[in-house]
Parts: sequence; structure tokens; C-alpha cells
Amino acid sequence: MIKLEHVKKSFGDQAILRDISLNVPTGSVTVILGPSGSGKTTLLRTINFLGKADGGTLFINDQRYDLRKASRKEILAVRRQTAMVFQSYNLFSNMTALQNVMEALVTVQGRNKADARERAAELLTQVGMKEHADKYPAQLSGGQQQRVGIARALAVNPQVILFDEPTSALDPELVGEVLAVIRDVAKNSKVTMIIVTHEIAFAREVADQIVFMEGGCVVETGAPQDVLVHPREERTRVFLNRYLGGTTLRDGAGI
Amino acid sequence: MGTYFDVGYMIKSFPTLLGMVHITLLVTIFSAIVGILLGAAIAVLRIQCVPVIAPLLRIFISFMRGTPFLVQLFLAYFGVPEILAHVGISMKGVPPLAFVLAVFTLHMAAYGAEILRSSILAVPVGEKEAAMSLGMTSFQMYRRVVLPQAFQMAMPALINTVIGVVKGTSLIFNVGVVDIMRKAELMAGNSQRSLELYVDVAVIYGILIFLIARIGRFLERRQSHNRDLAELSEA
Repeated sequence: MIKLEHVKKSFGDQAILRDISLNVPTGSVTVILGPSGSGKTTLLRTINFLGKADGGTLFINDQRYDLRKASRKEILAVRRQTAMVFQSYNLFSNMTALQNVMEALVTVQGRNKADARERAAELLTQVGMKEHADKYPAQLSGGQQQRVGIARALAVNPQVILFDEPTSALDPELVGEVLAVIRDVAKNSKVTMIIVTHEIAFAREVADQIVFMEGGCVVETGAPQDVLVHPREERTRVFLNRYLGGTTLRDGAGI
Repeated sequence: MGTYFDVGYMIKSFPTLLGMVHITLLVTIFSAIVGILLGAAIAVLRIQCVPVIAPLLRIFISFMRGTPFLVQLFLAYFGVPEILAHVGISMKGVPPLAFVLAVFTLHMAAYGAEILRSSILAVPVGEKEAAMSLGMTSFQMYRRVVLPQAFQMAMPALINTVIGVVKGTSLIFNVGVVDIMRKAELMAGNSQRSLELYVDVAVIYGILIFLIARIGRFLERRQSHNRDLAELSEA
């Protein structure tokens, strides 16, 4: 279980996150939606200590971490239980796809290379990148890089994978292959996931829980059916209308 | 006498001068390897803004870059033992070559630090974040992700500095180390023929630098292997 309580952050006098609390049950998929600038990415980075919050608490299972005052040791402990998939993939460009996936296993977890290679090859197969294992990131398309990025995140067996707009930097025709991989992971791996995305149809399909954020606040939380089809809040409705171009998601309508 | 330039003497002296090249090589290779490693450490400490140490390193770098080789050599060879004598440490037994190695290593470190600092900063921030998000310590991040890429980017500039060091070694005879330059002067004192010997010295330096440039190009190619391939596949 991942739980956030009272997360606050501001840059100067501009509040980015105003008292966010969130509960993500183990094995579930939470999708965070919201307009740009609503603080979704900042929230995700805060969980991984890539940005420091001004206040708030993170619970991973029953372990409690102060998001502002965590020690270096605690920060490492959190990062070793979490993994992140980035908008711009951020693969290590001095390593092949296989080495990218192996890296944390060997360097962080201290596993021997043969084991790590075997595990990495398995994961690359799972994301459909087996035949590109020995290519460098610069030789791969965006979609392929992101699939390696997902394999790299899965490799460390994290308590939670944080997806930061995993398809936003991709050409439209490459979005599908990455979403397919995430969908597959969500269905088969039973790993807890928090996904920030703008793909609403995808969110509806994979999410157990949708969180709608705006202006640094959680506006609405609930099952996809409730938030996307029968939103309670006006702001959620306005956002969905804008994103879906005037159409609304109807019960059972597949997009 | 008769001939102004004796080609025979030039050719005959070449092997004798070449016999002293090991000193030049020793100073170059030692200061290149140790200096670049030290430079990398300095660059990281400066980027991490380690209190007290980082500002001191900045002063160190501006000193090494702001004074000529020869002045540094004299300060180290004549000045340091003087200062240490005041605190009761005698440096009598220390050979001049040790001072030379120290000065050239620090010189290489100062220049290398600045070159590597800029290339470390040029490694994409996202890759550093990815390393951190996987739970790597800063040390692991530098060793596995940042420095390998920084060295690749810095290679041409580092090789340039090493070439500068090779040329700088022609000054070490001033503190009493016999290298190819000093050997040429000693031989000229006997034969009264210096021009032939200086041409030999020039040729030896030229060959050395040519070889270093080749090694540099080899290292660059080997490391940029992946990039070249990527460009090909895009074309």
C-alpha cells in the first residue's frame, strides 16, 4: 500500500501542491488526470524524492517517511522500493538496452551479472524488445526506448512504479505500443502503479482508481466509471469535455 | 668545420637522444593518467559544491591556470622545500623528478577538472534522475552513468591538454632533470653543433604528439561507436 498524507509544495509564493492525500492499495492502478500545471508530475517526483516537498508524509506498506525531512538513507530506501518511467525515457545512453535493464540489478541490488542478464532478457522479451537487446538508446525509436524504460523499472521489483506521462513525448503512431505494454504489465504483473497521463480512454481501461487534480488540489477521486462517466465536480466535467472534444464517455462506450 | 648543417651528425645523434625519451614519456603518461583521475574528482567535488573544499579547489585551479609551467616548477622545486624546512620537514632526499611529476600532475588535474566539469554538466539531467530514481548513490551514479559519458565528450579536449603537457616537459631540465632537451644541450656543448640536435628533438616531440593524437582518435572512435551507428541508421 502506498499512502500520501498532506503533501505540500510551492515554488516561491506559488503553491504547486496544496495538501494532497492519496491512498493506493497494493496491486492497484491509480491514474492521475488533470490539466497541465495541476501538479501531477510534481506529486510523482515528490514520491521519489526527485523533488523535495515542503511537507507531507509517505507510507510504503507500514513504513513512514517524512517527505521534507527524510535522511539520505531513507531517501535511498524509498527509491529502492520504487521505480520511475519518465516522459523523456531517460535511458542511460552509454549502455545498451540490455545493460540499461541490468544496471540497477547489478549496481544497486548487487546481483551477479549472469543472473541480472537473464532477468533483463526476460523483461525485454516481456516488453517485446528482445531482438533489440544489444542496441543503444540512440538506435531505438521513442516507443522502443520507452518500452526499455518500463523493463528497467520492472527489473528492480518495486513496490510501486511511477509513470510520468509515459506517452506524451511520443509520435501518435508509437503511443499504442507503449500503452499496450503498460496494459499488459497492469494485468499480469500485479505491481502497484501510479500513472500520470492524458490518455483518458486508456485511463478508463486500466485504472482501478482515477484521481482528478487541478490547481494543486485533488478535485475528485473514484472508480473510472464514476469520475469519467458521472463526474460529481463541475471542474472534472469541464476538463473531460475539453479533452474528449465535446463528446462524453457513456456507460459501456468503448473508445 | 665547413658544413653549416651536418646531416650525418644529426642522424648519428638521433638514437642517443631517443635514449632519453623515457623521461618525457614517464612524465607525460604519469601526469596524464593520475592528473585526469584527480581532475575528475575535483570536477565532481566542485559540481557537488562540497563546502570549504569546493572554493579551495577553485583557487587551486585559477592558480594552476594563471601561472606558467616554468614558474610552477621553480615554486615547487625551490619554494616548497624552503617552506617545509621552516616546519622542520627536510626534502633533501627527494629527487627532482618527484617535483616534476607533482607539478605536471597538478597542472593536468587543473585543466582536466575544468574540461570534465563542463562535460559532466552536459550529461542529460534526465539520465542522472533516472540513476537516482533507481536508488543509486551519487558515487554509483557518477561511476556508472555520468563519468563514462563525460569522458567520451571530453576526450578531444583532454588529449589537447596532454599534448600541452608533452611540450611542457621540455622545461623540466631547468630543475635538473635530464630529458631529451637537456641531453641535446649537453651534447651540443661537446660537439659545438646544436642545430642538428634541436632538429632531432623537434622530430622526437613531433612523433610523440602524433602518436598521442592517434591514441586519442582511437579512443574517441571506440567510445562513439554507438553514436556513429545511430547516425547511420537514421540516414
